[in-house]
Amino acid sequence: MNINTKQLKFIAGRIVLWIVLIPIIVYSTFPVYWAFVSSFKSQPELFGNPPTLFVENITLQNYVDLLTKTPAPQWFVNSLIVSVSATSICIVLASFGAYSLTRFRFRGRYVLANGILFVYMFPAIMVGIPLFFFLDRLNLLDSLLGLIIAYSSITLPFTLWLLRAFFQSIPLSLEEAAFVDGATRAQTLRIIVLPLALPGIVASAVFTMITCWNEYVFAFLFIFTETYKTVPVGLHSFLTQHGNLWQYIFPLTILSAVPLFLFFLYIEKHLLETLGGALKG
Amino acid sequence: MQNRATVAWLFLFPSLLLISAFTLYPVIYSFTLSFQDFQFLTLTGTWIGFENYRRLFDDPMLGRAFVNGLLWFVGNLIPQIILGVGFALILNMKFRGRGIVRTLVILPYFLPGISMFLTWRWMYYDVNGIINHVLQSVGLIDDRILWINSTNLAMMSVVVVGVWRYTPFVVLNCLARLSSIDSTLYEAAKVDGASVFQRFIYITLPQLRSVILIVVLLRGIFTFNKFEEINVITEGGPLGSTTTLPVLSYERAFGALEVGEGSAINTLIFLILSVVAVLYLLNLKPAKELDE
Repeated sequence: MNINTKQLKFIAGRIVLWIVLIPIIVYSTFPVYWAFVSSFKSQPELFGNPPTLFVENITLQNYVDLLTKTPAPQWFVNSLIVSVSATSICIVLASFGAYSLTRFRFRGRYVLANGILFVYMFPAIMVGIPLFFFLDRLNLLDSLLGLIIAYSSITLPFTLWLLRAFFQSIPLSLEEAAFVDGATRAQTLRIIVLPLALPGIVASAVFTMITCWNEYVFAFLFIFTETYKTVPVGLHSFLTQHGNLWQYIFPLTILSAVPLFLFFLYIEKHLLETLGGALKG
Repeated sequence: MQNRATVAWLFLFPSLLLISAFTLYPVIYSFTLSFQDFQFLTLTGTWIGFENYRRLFDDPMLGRAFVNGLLWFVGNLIPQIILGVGFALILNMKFRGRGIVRTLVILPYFLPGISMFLTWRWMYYDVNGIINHVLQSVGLIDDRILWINSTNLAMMSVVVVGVWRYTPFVVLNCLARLSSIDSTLYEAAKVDGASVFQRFIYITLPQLRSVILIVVLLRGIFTFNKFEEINVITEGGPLGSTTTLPVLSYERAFGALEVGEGSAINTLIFLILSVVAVLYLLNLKPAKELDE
């Protein structure tokens, strides 16, 4: 009898828990579900009233049209070029910078680290408006190269901060032991620091990629030529003065979420350990 | 020792150069633009002193943008903290399927932003939007509601999207702290006869306090800075009812081609931001904390 009431209490607790959890899950995931089903609806069904909760006639026509009748494939390539290039530049520079901030005890390093954190709080629009005229003077406006340079610069403070935390978690004693054994700084860096820091560097790179892939404000301000647009700005440009092309917006939403979802699954395990308190958005 | 400091600065130099040229310099450039009458087409400016600021403060839109920004700020922050802490406490319990539920709850923060804002805009549509349809079906409303096309509701509607997207940020930070609480604390309290409620009040809450302080400051800054969800969902409208300071700055510089006025707004944004950032840096000393 005693065990039975205990079991009953446990089951009742679980039921209450899931009664709370299910609305939370629906709330978190419904917009994704809605974009997903909308992407498979034929145009009459998509624009029809009332809206259908499930797809009545699944069609891939929207995907086919998106890939053949719009510049979306080009936007994908542009996003990829910009994200990969900016991430590469950012990660290489930030790795050197973070190593310096954690392994050398020079005057002003706290002020510098705080200054970097301050820069990372700058709103995109505050930097973007003057940067527009600066890029114009450098002939870098409306070009992927300009976007790559701008992205490397705005992602640097955050990546530096993130990598600094990763480098800090590598115990100094290993390097000190190597120094005692006569290793040079370059050798220590190559044999000890780099292998230990690699998971952190990869996680930071993935994070920077996500930021670049999602970036909208700079691309919105700096790019006007249709074929130079990135995915977020391309998506937004489907809202036209002659009507909104929702039949293209949803398939592109799903396609552009696929790489992000893979990245997310990769870094998820790092989220609770190292990234807490260092996120931006 | 002299040599080591040189190497240290050498390693930092490329990063600092890039940040200085393409982030710091534009902000300084923006200050100078705010004192100029700058022509968009010819890209030339003439110095006019505080004229841009004077015009700005004479404009009732600045006050409205400030109030809108305050609504946007408070409307986002309070629900995000309450929901975020609540979700984190629930997701910190042990139950089957916890990993998957955590992933699903954190997901909104990692999805492509613009496409999700567009999806919300579609869900808000008055004619065949799913939100009106569901509310009508269950009998909560009779007439279709103009979620994003009425001056009364537009701000609330974009705030809901902000809360949806950024609550996971709070959940993540709180979960990270909760999972690092030493479990022996709870066991000791249990042995001493503390109830579940007492354990929550005396162990969990004090541990969460510091992380909540950090999250409030960071989320506050990022919320204040936001531009894209408003630009994509309501474009600052209808009738300026969702125009916050960053949106106004964009409209002045690129809509009205008043670059000087837009830059003057940027100066205001910078000043407000600096006050909060200095509070954050002085009180929490994030750089030193990580070192220890």
